[in-house]
Amino acid sequence: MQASELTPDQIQQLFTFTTKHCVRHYDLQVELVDHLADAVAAKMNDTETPISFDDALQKIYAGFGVMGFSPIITSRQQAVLKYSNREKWRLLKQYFTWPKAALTMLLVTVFATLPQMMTIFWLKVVLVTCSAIFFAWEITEIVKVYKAYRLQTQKLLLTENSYWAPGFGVLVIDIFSMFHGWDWFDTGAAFSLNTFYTYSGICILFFICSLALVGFTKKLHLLARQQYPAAFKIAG
Amino acid sequence: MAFIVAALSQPTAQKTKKNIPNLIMHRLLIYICGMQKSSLYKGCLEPIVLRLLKDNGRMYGYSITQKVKEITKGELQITEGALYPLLHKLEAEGIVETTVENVGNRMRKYYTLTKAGTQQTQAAMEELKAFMESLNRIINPKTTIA
Repeated sequence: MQASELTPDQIQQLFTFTTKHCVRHYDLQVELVDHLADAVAAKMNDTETPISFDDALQKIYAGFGVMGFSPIITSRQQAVLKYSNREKWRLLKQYFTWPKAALTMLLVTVFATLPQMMTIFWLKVVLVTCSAIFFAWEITEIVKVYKAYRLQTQKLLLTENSYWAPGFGVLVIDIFSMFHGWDWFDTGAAFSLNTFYTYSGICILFFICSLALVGFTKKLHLLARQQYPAAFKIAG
Repeated sequence: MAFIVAALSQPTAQKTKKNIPNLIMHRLLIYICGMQKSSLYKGCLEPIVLRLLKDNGRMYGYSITQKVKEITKGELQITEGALYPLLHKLEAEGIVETTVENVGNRMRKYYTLTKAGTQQTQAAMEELKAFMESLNRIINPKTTIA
């Protein structure tokens, strides 16, 4: 069945139909509308007795069963979740395999050798500075994602749960508080080499996780823009 | 297999030593013939879809349903409620990948096998073949022995 058999108005009606039947995400709508359009066009042409667009649509929809589009919506949500988790783990694992493992090793080596090169005071300065840079970088990534979100005009299942992902790294502020970072420069505040190693180790881990999550969000948005350009407005 | 056990344990016929194997086969065939075709094909849907994608390159949802209908001369009709969840599952597992293209006045999502998907298809075909041979041994024990 040729795609041009239904008019643009009828295609629009199909989009409205899917929305009415609880399909609110554009990426899933696109797939269902294409299927319905083909099936409806075939029904309208194949039947010996004339059949209207609406009747054909109702007959085709009845073929989806009593649950309608629900099983498809659920399966798509589960599939996106599964894909997202798989992709996040894959990206994270890259930082423990060559060549990206070099970055992890470099960070660990630098922080492991720092205590041999400077005093406790300067170790505190390094930790506070690195935490502040990490936090600032996280904020810029969140702003970038927010801007990307603003460009999206249609809801996409593919990107729906990815907006929170780069926000993970801001938790570094909680870790900083847990280690009483605000009191490190007070006279008499406890700060040992153990504190330095533990805090820097956690920060490196958080940083690597954040890099993976930011990479995941960027990849997902690139994929969404390539596959569904109509769901985004052009950046001005 | 509970349904087969249930079908076999109907207490209507006389269960003598002689006619028990025939009775079992008779009940089994009656049960299978009485089933909806879709139920019989249900477990085979994934190998069918994988094989179609392997043979035809890239396909979209509606074309898969039509291809199956065409090959089986209308005997088997894949429902949308079964097809799309399967396609989404295969996509999430990295067995198929998708591309979206403009087709006339709308967009169309195409599915293609990935490298892992091609290997999976091979394995699924072998599994299906083994299953069909087992089924054949049950339905035609004499033929298999010969």
